[in-house]
Amino acid sequence: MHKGKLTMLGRIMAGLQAVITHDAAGQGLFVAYHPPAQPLSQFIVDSCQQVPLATGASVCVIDRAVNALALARTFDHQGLGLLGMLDDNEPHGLESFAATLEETRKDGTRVYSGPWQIPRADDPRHVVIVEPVEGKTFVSWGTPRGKATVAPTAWPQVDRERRERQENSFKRMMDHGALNTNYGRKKMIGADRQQQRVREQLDQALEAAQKRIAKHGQEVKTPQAKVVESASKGHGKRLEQRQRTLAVLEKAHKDAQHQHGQLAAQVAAVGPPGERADRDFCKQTIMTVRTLLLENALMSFMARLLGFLKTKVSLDCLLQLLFERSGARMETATQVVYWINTAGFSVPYHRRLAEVVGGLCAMDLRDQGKPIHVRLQTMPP
Amino acid sequence: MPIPQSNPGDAPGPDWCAGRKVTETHKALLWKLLSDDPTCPSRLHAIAETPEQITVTLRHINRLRKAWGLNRGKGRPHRVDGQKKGEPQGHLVRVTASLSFVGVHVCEAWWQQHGGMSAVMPLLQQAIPTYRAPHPDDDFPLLHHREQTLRRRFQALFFAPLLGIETLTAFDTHAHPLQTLLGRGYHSATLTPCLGPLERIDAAGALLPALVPQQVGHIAYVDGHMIA
Repeated sequence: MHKGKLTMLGRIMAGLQAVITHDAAGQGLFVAYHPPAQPLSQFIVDSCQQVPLATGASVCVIDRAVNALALARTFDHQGLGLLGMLDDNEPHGLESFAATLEETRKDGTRVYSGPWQIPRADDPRHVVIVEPVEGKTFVSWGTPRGKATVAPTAWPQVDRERRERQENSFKRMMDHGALNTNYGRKKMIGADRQQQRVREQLDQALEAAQKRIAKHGQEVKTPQAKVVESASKGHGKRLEQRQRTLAVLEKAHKDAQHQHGQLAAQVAAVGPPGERADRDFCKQTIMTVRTLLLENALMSFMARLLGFLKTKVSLDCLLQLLFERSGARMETATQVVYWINTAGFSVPYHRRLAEVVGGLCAMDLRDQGKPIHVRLQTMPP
Repeated sequence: MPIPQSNPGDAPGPDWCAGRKVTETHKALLWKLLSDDPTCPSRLHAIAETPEQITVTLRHINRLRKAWGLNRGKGRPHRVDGQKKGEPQGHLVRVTASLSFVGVHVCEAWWQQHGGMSAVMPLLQQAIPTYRAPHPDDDFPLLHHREQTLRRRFQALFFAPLLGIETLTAFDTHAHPLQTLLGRGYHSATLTPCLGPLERIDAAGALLPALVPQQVGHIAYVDGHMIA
């Protein structure tokens, strides 16, 4: 069954694109949503411009980006720092760069940095190459501000940290933060972006066609005069030569006019500026801010709790061991006691929960001023 | 391998499931009394004079004491030198015998202790007059909410994912402990009309500063996430 064009008014493209920012401690700082039809690099530029304003951070670290050069230029023009990974298709080994050896690490990994071998006009990117003894070469780039803020030898580490922090955070938020849930069905009417793009391309082509017509029109005038001159002077062979030249130029002029006519017809077919519906992201953004606030709170809680534990416990494990368990609560005038039901726990899980409970007791938790005690409910239900 | 007995978290909790003869409240009262003084004889007046009269036999009380590990040895009650009576725990205020998501309650207490909604509420409350200024004729309930109402409703949305609630309609279909967590149970019929007005007052933009900590480093990590 035909369901109409994607850009048809009233039909919205499925999916959402979020740009989420974290700080070095893994705390969510910023979120912005964009329609899925919008090119990723364009809204990364928009979002990254908002991030320094909203958070005060001066350097943004992004993943391997499409249109990295355009991003780097935009950031450089605004005096912002940007670090990212170079597209795998771009580097052709060390010979592409005027790289100098910065350091050789204990494991034999060599770190080079430098600009492009052949200077590229308006390419502000500085490149760092990490060449391990075995395995793939790692190439990352940064704008001058990024280079000034973060030492080039630290770029690979910064990129690894970004991946660890953000990708793990996204996984956690999908698991227990409802990050992948859609909220709100409201639509907002906006300009038909696809039509705008087609119109822009046609307008450019039409303008070029008009220039060609004018150029060919000028070129035809001289041979026409020469043909008239040859005819009046009674030239024989020269007249033929001039008529042939004139015919070629007239054909080119006619072709240009024909092409212009075709383009004008295409512009007319595109019609007046259209509208299309996009999802309204307000509710989605509110709920994602909620998710980020929750994640930040959980991370802080974890950090505090881990300070009292001897063994490492992941947040997922804590959610299963502690958060999702049932139990009982008793409040007296002087204290609050929680019991956690341990029925069905294996001995190692029981031990781990006992350690967590010990940590909770050491955290000096209080409810309305009353100390909170957490106990294991060891009796079978 | 036996479970270590010395862990402080292993202090046994009672089995408070209501039985045929003894209700869960009676069990809680009894447990509290015996925890205060594990050597207290079952025949003691204190048990008989509990606020709610326990009308079960001595044998039943003794059976419960044994199950909870709060029974005393045979013979006349006596106190060894240096053995002190347990610290009294005060009057019982409330007992919730069956509580789901215990960890969420504990975490919520920690969260409230460390500011809770203190970063969010001023921003939400500020967004209301900001919206009202250019829209003086608009009138919807959110504009008149008390701070407490707004706080509770946002908290219900905040804790929902930890309680296994992903969509607003799941507030109606999932059993959730919001009543014990926030003191009020919520349904989608309450929270859906809360989210709509939050959208009207542009709560999304207003809440973004709540994410930013007081001290931010000079590096920010940016990544895209696609939601299908």
